[in-house]
Amino acid sequence: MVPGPGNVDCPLTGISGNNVVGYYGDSSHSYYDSGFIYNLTNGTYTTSIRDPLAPGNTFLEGISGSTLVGYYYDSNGVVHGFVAVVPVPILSLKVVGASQIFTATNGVAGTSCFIVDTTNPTLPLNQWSELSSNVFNASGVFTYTNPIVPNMPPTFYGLSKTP
Amino acid sequence: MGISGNVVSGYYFGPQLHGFYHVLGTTNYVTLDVPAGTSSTYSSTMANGVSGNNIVGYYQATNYSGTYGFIYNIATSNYTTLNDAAVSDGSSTYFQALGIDGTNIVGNVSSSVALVGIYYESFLATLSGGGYNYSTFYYPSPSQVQNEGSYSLTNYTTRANGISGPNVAGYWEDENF
Repeated sequence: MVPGPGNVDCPLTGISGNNVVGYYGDSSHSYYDSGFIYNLTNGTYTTSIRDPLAPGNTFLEGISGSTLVGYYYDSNGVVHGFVAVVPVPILSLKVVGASQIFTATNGVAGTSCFIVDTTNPTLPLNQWSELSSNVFNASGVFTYTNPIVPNMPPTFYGLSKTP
Repeated sequence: MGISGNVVSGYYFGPQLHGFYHVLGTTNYVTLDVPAGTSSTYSSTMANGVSGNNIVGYYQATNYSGTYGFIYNIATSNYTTLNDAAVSDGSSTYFQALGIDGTNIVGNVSSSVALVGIYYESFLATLSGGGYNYSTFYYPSPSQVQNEGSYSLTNYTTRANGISGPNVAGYWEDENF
């Protein structure tokens, strides 16, 4: 069941690799159906996947790699298919004075994402340390400012769906 | 609907039911009408899943003898009917192929309990040597019994919609559905 108060009925409709897709009654969209992706590996959901033109329900029906297919009804009851690509967030970093300014873009609005870091990039991502917990805003962006510590060792940064 | 690589499969009303596939990046759509489910005034093909050159779906026969699964091969344009008479409810056959990954196909079949109605369980069919091996499954376990008056269903409806490697995705309906 897709987490969240009031989210109802979530049939799974497709699977590709470790990602399962389906749709559910989305409490954040007046209980209209929205699509979701569930990752079998890390147990995380990407929710509220909707065609931006859909006035009501969006039904997510299939996935192949990072490509999604589904359909929605327009306000005249006409069905439209859609193809979408799973958004891949991008992290950028710039130094301003004594601070590091991280900016993540291309995320799904309202979903959580973690900046993680390590001094040993050969470690698996789940062994990197959590630097900050963030939520993408309505534009799919978040920023995080981190003070630069003197004598800081060379450090590598990344984005992760899990802390 | 389904997608595999750059091939999308699905169906449309026009006004009858027709399957189709579309290659992303092109303007070409190919209509799929299973011959046994198509006449001059009737068509009932629904394409659902795709893997490589194979598209699976189901259709209702023109003589209304039942609903049957099919595989359509894009390279050869051939249709193959999928069915298992052993799962017939006695008066009709209901067999929906919904997902495919390589040689494995999943979908739904109907069974019936007198005076209770039809419920659905899922199947896994593995293509082999021009035929296929076939088994059914359901979730939750068959030990969960739904009482309907003096009758009992041994399981709730289970629908398998997709498969990828060893993993199957679908849903089941509990007593509150």
